[in-house]
Amino acid sequence: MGAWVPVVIGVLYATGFYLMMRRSIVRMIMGLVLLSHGTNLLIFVSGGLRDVVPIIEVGARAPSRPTADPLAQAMILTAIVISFAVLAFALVLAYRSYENIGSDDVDELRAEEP
Amino acid sequence: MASGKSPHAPSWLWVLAPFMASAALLPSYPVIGSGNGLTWSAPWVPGLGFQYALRLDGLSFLFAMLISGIGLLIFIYARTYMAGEPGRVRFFSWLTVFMASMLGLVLSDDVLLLFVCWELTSVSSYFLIGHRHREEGSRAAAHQALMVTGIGGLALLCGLLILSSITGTTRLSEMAGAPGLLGNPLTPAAVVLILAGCCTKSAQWPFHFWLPNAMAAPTPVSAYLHSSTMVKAGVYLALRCHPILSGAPGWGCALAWLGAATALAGTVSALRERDMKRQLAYLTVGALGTLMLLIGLGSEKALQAVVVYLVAHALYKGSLFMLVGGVDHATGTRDASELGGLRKVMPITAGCAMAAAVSLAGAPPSMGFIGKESLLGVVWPATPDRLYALVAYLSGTIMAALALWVALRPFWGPTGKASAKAHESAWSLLCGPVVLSVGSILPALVPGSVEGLLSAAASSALGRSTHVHLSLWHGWGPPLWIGLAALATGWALYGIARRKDAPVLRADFPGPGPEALYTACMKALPEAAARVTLCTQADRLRDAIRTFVVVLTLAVGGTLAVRGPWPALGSIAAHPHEIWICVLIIVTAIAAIRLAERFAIVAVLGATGLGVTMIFVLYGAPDLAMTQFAVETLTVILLALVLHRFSMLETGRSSSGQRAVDLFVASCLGVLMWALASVALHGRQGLSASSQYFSETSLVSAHGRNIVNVIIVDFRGIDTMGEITVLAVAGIGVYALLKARLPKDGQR
Repeated sequence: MGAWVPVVIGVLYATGFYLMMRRSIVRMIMGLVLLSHGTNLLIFVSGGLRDVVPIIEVGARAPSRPTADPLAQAMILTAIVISFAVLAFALVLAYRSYENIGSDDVDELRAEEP
Repeated sequence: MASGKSPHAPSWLWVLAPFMASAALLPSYPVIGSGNGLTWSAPWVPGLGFQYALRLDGLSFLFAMLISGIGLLIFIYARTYMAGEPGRVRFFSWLTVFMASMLGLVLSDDVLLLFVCWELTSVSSYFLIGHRHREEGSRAAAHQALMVTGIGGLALLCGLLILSSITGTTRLSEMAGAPGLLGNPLTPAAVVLILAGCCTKSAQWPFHFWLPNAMAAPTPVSAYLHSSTMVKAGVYLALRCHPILSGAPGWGCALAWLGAATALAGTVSALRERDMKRQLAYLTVGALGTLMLLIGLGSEKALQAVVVYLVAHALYKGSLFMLVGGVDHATGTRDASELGGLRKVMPITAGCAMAAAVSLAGAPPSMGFIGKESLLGVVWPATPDRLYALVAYLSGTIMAALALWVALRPFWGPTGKASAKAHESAWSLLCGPVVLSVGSILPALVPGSVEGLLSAAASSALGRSTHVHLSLWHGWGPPLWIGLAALATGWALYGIARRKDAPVLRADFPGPGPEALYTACMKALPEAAARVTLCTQADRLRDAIRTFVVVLTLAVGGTLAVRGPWPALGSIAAHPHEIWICVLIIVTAIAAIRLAERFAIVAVLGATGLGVTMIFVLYGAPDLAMTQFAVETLTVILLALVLHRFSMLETGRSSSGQRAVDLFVASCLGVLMWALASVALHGRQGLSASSQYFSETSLVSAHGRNIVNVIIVDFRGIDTMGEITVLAVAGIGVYALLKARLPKDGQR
């Protein structure tokens, strides 16, 4: 499995950035979604891939076996929520600009600028 | 203003600074005169070996006396000269800063301390040249001087650091004779860099153009910084480095050639000027060139000549500048051809100008004459140096002609049109010129008075003891004939100027010089910067993203390729369901960029998110899996809700070539991220120290068994607070965006 997850991360970054370089704002936002997935997974693998849940068993004072990295998980938890907030905001922003300008093309947005 | 009583004249307190400096220096003369040096040091950056190391030897003493002594006269002069001008406190503050940093420069023994003082003199010079900052010309001249001397200062820093890394010491006094210095392959680089510093500071050709332009400064600044002291910092450093670098290849030769070129270029350029200050500035350039030429020749006699010539120049040039300033004050012009007959109303000024001009022309009996005779005595006898004798003759001719022009033209002949309202200057404007003019003549008549001082300075520069013998009579011989010939041709040249009553040469002689190149560079620099900015920071977001991705890939990927570690491939073996999850993510992510139908994209994005959720499930992260699942569901709903309101189909597409480029760029980044993830995954095994700490203290200190939850709500609770705030702000933003009604076009 160690060879597979990095490939997944690479594909998520490549597709995410490819979408962010498109003219459509909605596609750019979708690129953002893929990019967040890639980044979350990158943080995840940098803690190592272990299948033991970081929970202290009843009766123990500390985990008895090496667990998955709890710090990386805590950071990803924060990142998931924040990226959702950013996504919601960006999406509504795109929607409002579409309403006002009638297009989702960044180049036409530029033409609208005073 | 410090003193409320006299609103027009700056306080006498300012004058205390140079007075105290000279008073503090004088008692150490007996020690210096006996050939010893005084040192003092305190730690500064002990780890790097830098110290506040000061050293007072003959050379430092001579310069320090010039700086504080002439400084005292300048401060007295400026007190009256600047009365009534705005910004006097600023002016005197910077003048004091300059004096302190100049003293620091000549006293410091540590290379870094020397560099700091060197830069401080450039900075204070910038503010003093630009003192009348409302005038465009002042600002431009200040900027030019700072650019030229500042770039030279950076070169000097590199040179000094190379020198100290070769010799293993930061103390200048310990560098001379360090083993391995002359054979080191880096020594030529140090020589070039240090010479660049010296030549920019001391206005050597082709960097000389900033000095005449610096005449935009008030006259006390021109007299102090730009004739007597700051421009001699380069000469000082060349003298200081002479015992260290005189054996290095190119040092002497480069100095001599640059000096000769500067001596010629400076004096010839003086012939095309009308403004007496600019004429004198070009003559200063010429004199500085002569000094560098002598240092480059480097013999014992040459270094003796350097100190004599240097002192003579500081005295007569300081005096002449102050006199021109006084004439300017009294008549409102510095163009000698508009003046005339001033000797009747300004007799003391006229007398001082005559005395100083005798020294400038190199006529007996004066320090300038002894300096010129010593110069000719060095360059004539040695056959390969006879070309330099020609340079000395030509520059001597021009100096004599302009000395006559400056000392005779305003004061003799019929009363000029600008002379009508003239009056003798106040005593405070005259005391400086009187002292310096007397100083130009008197030591030549009483040689014993300064021989000790000059000998100590020459000994420091030479690196061994030597005695400077001052004499007005060097005997019959070529040096005397050449000197007299220069005086005679100078007189003839003055006659030509007098008949034209205008500059001898055209103002644009001899065509565009180094200054034109400098101006072109200064113009091209912002244009090139604008072009580069336009290339890299395009105003379209996706172009900026592309630039970012390319730079990131090249920089990080390049570092990874050069430094390693090379990413380990890891094990391909996996359970079938694990492989299927990975394949699912890859296929849906690629589908997201291939599909055109909006809801199809929403669907595949949801599938990608579920795949990531599954990875969290498989590798011990149930909290992540639950959160990701909930967020993924919300995302799909949100996307579907928003997207059914508008269509992407009408959006224009990039050209197919552009898409291919984007795909290539993004793929390169994908490969890099793959490599980084592999390195991260296979690098450290086991938990990091902080994760270990959280695991061990989660139950004991925070009474929680779910370590991830404890980190979120307890160990990093404030972080989570911030996260909640971001969420709230985003929510408010979304609400505001949906509710706000922007005015339609035409209603703005």
